[in-house]
Amino acid sequence: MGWPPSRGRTTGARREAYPAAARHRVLVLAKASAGSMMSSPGIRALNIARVLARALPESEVVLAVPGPTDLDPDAPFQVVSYTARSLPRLVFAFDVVISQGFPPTTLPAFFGRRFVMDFFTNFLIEGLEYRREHVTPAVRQAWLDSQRTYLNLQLTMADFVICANERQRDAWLGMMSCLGLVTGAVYDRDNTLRALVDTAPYGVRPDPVAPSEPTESVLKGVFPGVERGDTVILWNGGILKWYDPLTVIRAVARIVERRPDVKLLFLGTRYPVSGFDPGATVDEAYALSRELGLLGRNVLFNEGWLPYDLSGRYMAEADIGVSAYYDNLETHFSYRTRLVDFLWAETPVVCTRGDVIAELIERRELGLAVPERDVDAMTAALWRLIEDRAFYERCKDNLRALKPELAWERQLSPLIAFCRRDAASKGRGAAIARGKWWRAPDLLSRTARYALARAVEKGLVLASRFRS
Amino acid sequence: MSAPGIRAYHMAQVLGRHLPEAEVTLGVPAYSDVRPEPGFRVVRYGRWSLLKLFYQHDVIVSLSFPPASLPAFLRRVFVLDFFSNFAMEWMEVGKTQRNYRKRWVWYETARQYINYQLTAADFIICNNERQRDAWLGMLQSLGLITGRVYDADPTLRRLVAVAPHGIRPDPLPEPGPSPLRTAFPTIRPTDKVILWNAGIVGWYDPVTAIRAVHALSHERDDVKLVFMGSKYPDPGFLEENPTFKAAIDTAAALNLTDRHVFFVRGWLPYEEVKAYLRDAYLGLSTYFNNAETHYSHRTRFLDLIWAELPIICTRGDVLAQMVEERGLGIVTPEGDVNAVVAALRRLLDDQEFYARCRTNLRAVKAGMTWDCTLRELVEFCRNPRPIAVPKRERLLPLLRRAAGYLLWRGITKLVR
Repeated sequence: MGWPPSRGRTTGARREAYPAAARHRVLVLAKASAGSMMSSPGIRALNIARVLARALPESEVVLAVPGPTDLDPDAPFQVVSYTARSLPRLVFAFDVVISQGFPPTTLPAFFGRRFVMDFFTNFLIEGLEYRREHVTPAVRQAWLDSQRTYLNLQLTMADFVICANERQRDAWLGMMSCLGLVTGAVYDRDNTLRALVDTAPYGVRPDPVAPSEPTESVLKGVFPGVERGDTVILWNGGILKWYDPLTVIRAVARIVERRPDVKLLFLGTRYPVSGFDPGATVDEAYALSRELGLLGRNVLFNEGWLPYDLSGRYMAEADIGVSAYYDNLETHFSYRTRLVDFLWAETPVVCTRGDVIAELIERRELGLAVPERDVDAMTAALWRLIEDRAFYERCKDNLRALKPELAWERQLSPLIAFCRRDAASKGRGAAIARGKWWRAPDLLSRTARYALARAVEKGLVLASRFRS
Repeated sequence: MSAPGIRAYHMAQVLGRHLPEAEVTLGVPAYSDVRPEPGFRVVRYGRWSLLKLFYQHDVIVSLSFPPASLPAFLRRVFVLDFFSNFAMEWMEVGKTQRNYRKRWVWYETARQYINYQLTAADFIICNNERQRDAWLGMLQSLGLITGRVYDADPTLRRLVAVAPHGIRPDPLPEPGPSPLRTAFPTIRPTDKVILWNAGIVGWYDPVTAIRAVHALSHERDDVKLVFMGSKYPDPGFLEENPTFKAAIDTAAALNLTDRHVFFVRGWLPYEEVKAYLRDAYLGLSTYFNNAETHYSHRTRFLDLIWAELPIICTRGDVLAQMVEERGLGIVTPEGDVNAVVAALRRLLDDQEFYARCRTNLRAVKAGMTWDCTLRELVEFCRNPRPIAVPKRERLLPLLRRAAGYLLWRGITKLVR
């Protein structure tokens, strides 16, 4: 009997639809779309499925995505789409479920399965930045409370947690010890606690940078406003609220006075995740470039969102990658996947100091990192990469040398090891987390708290709509 | 003094020096013998006089706010000095408890205690970034990082700051009588003294160090390993732990005691340690690369840095990382006797490398004085405007968590 029995909404009795398979089964649950239009959570889920399918030939790997997808698997894994209603049943059929979040409806599947939490960003801090405007303080606080209770619930459900860097790991471990999830028994099973929380960061794309057959250029001489001989500075990814495109635009304004052939291109202005509001920063970026007289001449915006493969070609063709943000707590815990994409494209980068990749860029000389909001430093850094050819080439060499270390297979090795242990021990020895029954009372009370916080939040949102 | 006492003493010194307009008091337990200095006065407190002492001050810096101090909560600024990730350190401490029920209850009490302390704090200082990230995580879980807190300072450095342990402000000691060689006459002036310069705490690994010296003792007789401090000055803390016994037994079994391995019994006064450091050739410290180590800040290294002694230590903590990155000595994997032997050999024989380590040590010293490391605490005390959740909003959770802690402490007493 093949799997899955049907695409989309699953029907029929569970026992029939999901026969007790002898094979070890791993489900990768994507919370965002995966396919040609992907943002980083989708890309991450896809690569996890791809790497696990290759590394665990004896296990069956399935990638579940919300809604329809045009994904064509290039590794031995299957793709299914799920809905909020079919999800609870779906997870029952697997031994290991890797997800960026488990809705409370999957709680019945908690026993008998290993839940791997893929917490690659500190959501709560991100939320603090994201919801700063457009809502009343009360709604915002209600939203934060529901996020917090959600995270507490998720960590209680988790048998293994993976995250993107050591800082995040320290914070997750802090939360887990606060919630009573790091007990003496857990510590005795592994006193490094790496088997409870480990880092498995975002990797570089598996595709080669230079396509095997020389394809036509996509950027220089093609993109409206970019000439063949221009020097292109690329801002890849969206312009989210907590990014600082204005410093870059100001720096470029100074540079074009002497080098009119320098072009700054913003690659994404909309997000493929529906309901995700990028905030007013995009409009500010437009306004400032118009004000400086650069809009459409030296500062260009690509409307919408580029397909994943195409954006890679843009990055490879650009001369310099740029990303600017603020040195705040969001940055402190972040793992900027857009910077990883530049590392893949072997494009030297100028970015803001404060996160772990900026640290890597400085330590391994892959480009330059500058203090936040510092137009002078940004100008000097961009200028150095434009003018100092020897330095530029050195960065390129260092990028090439670094790349193998950032392959998905290597980044995800703790997850591969976990799944392998799980398959070998038939689910008995892989997880060191607190026993499921011990966690059950907390799980119930934290579910209730989350439901309550969620209800309060919804109520407040409704009330504020009603008033306005 | 052990590390917490040293820390409090230097805090009082630095705050007294930098805040001439403020009155600085060092509150110490009744059994300590610290004397007042021009910058601060010294007050001895007992369980009941503590609250009075809290009421007399505007800002209180403490590593603990016991429930008895809670009446002062609403009107005073509480600065919590959480210089170690106790959630992890106490995992190791709890291992000595053989009764599993007692152990389990003790851990739960510790967790309740930490959650309660974090709720009581208006400002938190810790020793390194890893600890800070863990405290931030806990604060998030407890709902103590709200939108308003974040808006007041999106870096949250005004909520949780890093104020690491510093190095002694004193100049290097002059040559003089050697208490080390007086205590152990078999150590000759030409011998190279390898110093384990603090207590043998339960979760350290002295056996690897002793085995490494044993291996070296076959090829040379000028290597002497001295363990300094076997008993902590604070009553009840790690008096005779199994690790210490293992060290004594291993040294005896390998017939090294008082030939190549020496134990200083008791605890050395803070000032006297300086002469021991002067007479040493290098510092050695071995432990295990576990979660306790990951968050730890091995304060013993700071004395070695102050004395410009190259360091051999185990990988895993932030100071070991600094030793590696800044070339202050050699870092070895946990439990690897051969690696320690190789490291000892290199520092004993390669004089050029030894000199380079010392030069690097001198270079890092400047930024590690207490005046530098406590900068954020001084800034906060100069103008104490905490950004933490307002006290009134914290009052109910605080009382709830204090009650939870007291309940579990009561259970600790009952469980057998």
